[in-house]
Amino acid sequence: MRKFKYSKDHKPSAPIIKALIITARGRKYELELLVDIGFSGGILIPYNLYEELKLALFEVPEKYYGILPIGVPITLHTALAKVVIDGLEFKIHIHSHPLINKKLAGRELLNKMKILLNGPMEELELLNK
Amino acid sequence: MKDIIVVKNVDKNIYKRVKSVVALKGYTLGKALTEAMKLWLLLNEAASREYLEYLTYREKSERKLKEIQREYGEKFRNKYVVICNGELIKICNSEDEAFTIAGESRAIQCIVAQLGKKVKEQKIEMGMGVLNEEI
Repeated sequence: MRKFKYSKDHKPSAPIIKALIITARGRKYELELLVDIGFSGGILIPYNLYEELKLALFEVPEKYYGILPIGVPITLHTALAKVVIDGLEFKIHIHSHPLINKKLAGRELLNKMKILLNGPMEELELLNK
Repeated sequence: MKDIIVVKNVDKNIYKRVKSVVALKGYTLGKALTEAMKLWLLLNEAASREYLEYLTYREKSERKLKEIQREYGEKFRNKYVVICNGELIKICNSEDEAFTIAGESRAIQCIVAQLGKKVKEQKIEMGMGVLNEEI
């Protein structure tokens, strides 16, 4: 059972998960994602990382519109990539936008795993294994 | 005194307006200017030549995909097409093969799509998580 300590950069501390993104080009990149159940997509990454991983080469044909909490839609750039979390492998949509600088794990990814948010211990536990 | 930066040629009227809003919001001028500069950097990044080039290619690829779906959508139903920078690269038997071809490309932008499949607009809830950070 893998555990990830909550991030203390947030107040109160917030659950994070470590993921390895592997593109079809073989590029690997490990990153910490903030767990955000309010985000219905797969993974959100900053645009400079989207560029660095050359994810624009693996884009899906669908247009994805991100609806901000204030109701404003923004066009997201969306690609497919392999994501590995503690040995579990998923094909996930990776979204990005030049004006958003966040690294988030959304419900498309979170719903594929059995996760326990152990608040008192400030730990996220993966229960899949 | 620390971190003092002198800036010439600032528009006095804009400066006065910023100072008033800063006072009303209980900000410091330094914090407001830092936020403004970060936003300026982000906007410039968004409008960079490379980014605009990428957007143009994405648009071309979308147009090409519509054309290919019309011409070959039925004939090659369920096969995968790779379109890079608005050009048809290959029709592949599997998604993995299509992604490999796209990955080998030196293009700026590629779309991998299944033929015969309707392209639908998708809506994603962004949640508050995207907003609660200093820009």
